[in-house]
Amino acid sequence: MKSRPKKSPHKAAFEEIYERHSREVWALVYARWLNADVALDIMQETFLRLWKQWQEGSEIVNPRAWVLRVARNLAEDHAKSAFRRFGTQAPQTMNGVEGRDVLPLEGMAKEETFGQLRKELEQLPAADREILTLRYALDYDTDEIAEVLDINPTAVHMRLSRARQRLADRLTAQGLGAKHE
Amino acid sequence: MNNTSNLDEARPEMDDLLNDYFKNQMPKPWPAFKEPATTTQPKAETGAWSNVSARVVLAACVAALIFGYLTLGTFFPTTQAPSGVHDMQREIGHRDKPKNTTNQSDEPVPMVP
Repeated sequence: MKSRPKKSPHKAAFEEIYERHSREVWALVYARWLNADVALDIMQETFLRLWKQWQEGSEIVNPRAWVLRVARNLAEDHAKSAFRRFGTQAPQTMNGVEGRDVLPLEGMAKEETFGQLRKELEQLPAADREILTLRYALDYDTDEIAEVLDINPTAVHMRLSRARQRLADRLTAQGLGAKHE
Repeated sequence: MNNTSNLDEARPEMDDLLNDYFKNQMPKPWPAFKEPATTTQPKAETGAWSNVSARVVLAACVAALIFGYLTLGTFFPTTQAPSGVHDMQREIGHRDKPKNTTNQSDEPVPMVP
C-alpha cells in the first residue's frame, strides 16, 4: 500500500507541539551556547527523540516539559563533548556572531556590534541569558518566561532588569549604546 | 498585557539592540519538522514476524527430534547390551582367584611323616 498524502492525527498532533515549543527549545539551548547552529541541531535532535518516543507508543504527559528537559541535557552533553574535543570551548564559539543576513556595508558594523554584545552576553549567568533570549528572540513577556523556566515572575522581572542594566552599562562604556540605532 | 513594557520604555536603544541581535540569530525561515525516513513501525512489524517465525521453526525442530527419537525407538527395541562390553565393565578392577588355591585352603593339609 502506498502512503496516503493526508496527515495522520498522530503526526498532526506532533507537528502542533513542534510548532508551539520548538522555538522555546531553540532559545534555551541558544542561551546556553550562544551558537545558533548548535541550538538548531540540538532542537532538531530533541524533537527527533520525541518523535521516536511517540512511535514506540510511550505516553508523555507533558511534552513541553519533556522537550525542555531533554534539550537541556543534550546541551550539557554537548558541553562535555566540546570540552573533550577542544579543551575549553568549541572553535565555532570562539568566532564572531554568525549573522544570518548578508549585508556587505551596514552588515559589517552591525556584526561588529553584535560580536561585542555577544561577548558581554557570555559574561552573564546562563539563567539571565535564558531570560534575555526568551524575551527578545521570542517576544515573551514576564509571565510567559516564568512559565517556561518554572520560576517566579518577580524573579524574572528582577533578573531581566539586572541583565539589561549590566549590558547597557558595559556597552555604553564601550561607546556602543549610543552608536546603535 | 506586557509586563516588560516599562522596561522597554526605560532603555529603548538597548531593547532595539537586543531585539536585532536575537532576531538576527534565529533561523529564517524556521525549519519544519522532517519525519525520519525510516520509522520504527515497520521495524517493529518485521521484528514481530521474525520472532513468530523463529519460534515456529524452533517448535518444528523440537517436534521432529522427538518424532525421530520415538520412531527409531520402535525400529530398534531395547536389548541386552553386548556381553563383551558388559563383562569388561564387570572385570575392571576385579581379580580372579585360581580354583586350586581355593580348594586347597578349604581341605586340611595332609601331614607328611
